[in-house]
Amino acid sequence: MGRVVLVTLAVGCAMIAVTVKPSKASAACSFNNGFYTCKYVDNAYLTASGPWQASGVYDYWYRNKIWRPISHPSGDWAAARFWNSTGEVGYRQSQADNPVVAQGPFGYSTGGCRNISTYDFYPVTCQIYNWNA
Amino acid sequence: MMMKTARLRTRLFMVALVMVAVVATAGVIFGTRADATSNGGPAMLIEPANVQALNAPARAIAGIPPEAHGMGTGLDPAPGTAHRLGNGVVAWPAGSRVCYYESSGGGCIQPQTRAIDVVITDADGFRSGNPARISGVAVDAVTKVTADLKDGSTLSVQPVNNWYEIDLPESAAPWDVTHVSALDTNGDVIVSYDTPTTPLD
Repeated sequence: MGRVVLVTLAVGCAMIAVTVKPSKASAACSFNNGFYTCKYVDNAYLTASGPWQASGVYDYWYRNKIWRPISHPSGDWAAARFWNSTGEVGYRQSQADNPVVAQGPFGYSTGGCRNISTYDFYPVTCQIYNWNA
Repeated sequence: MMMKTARLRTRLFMVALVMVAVVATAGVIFGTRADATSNGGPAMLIEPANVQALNAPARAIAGIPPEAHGMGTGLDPAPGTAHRLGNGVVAWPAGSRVCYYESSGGGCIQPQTRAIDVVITDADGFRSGNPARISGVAVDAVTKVTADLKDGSTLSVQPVNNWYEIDLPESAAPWDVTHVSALDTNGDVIVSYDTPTTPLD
């Protein structure tokens, strides 16, 4: 009986492990000594040429960073950007920088990051800061 | 008669020896040259040893420049290790990696990246305002960087103190670039990177 329970539990855990894929979390924002930062992509799986991952938060942002593994000799293109009601206010794409760090526009904006390569990325983290972090 | 034959043999042997020496020397010379300019040569990797401006005392920056931080654990500069590349760009070694910061951002270049780092930036609206720009670190062996555009045109520039910048036409967006290539002194392509050409929304 005990063996059956153990086997059932093991199979259940294995199914959960297979079924649960890493997913994008909503922005996790925090204050630190008067500074503000939001991690808006946390160890997520970004598909090739997928959509922009938006931070969804407006602030006087200074830096926007994306980290991802780079596994291909020709590089894995990633992009970080800022925009506001006037449109684009800062865009940066790189094939080999890790992290890619985009400088903010010295004004209110929101930001996002994106996989613009032809390969899927995992894991990817994107974070935005209202200071020169 | 036998003396003459012996002398002739000795001369022939000497000539053969000299020819072998010449061929061997040429092999070493050209072999080394090929290695230094080939795609996979260690001198082509973006590492601190291959970026002369990072090793020039005259280009060193005292202390830690305020913008040179925040790259992540183990990637920030030690005091006095930051140097200025061309156009005032701040760069520093982080182990075998090269990190840098310029006015629109920065990063740490992934190990095993060959010849040039390729970054495309646009400070304002696509196809309007200030033109988009291609820029990055270039190793010592790179004497020219070219960018091919969708319209068939090619732009080129020579790196200055291991840094290059190519301003795109005002009408061009980042995805109008199709390839960015690094060339050596012979005009041979060291590496050519395909760039994303799908328009961004």
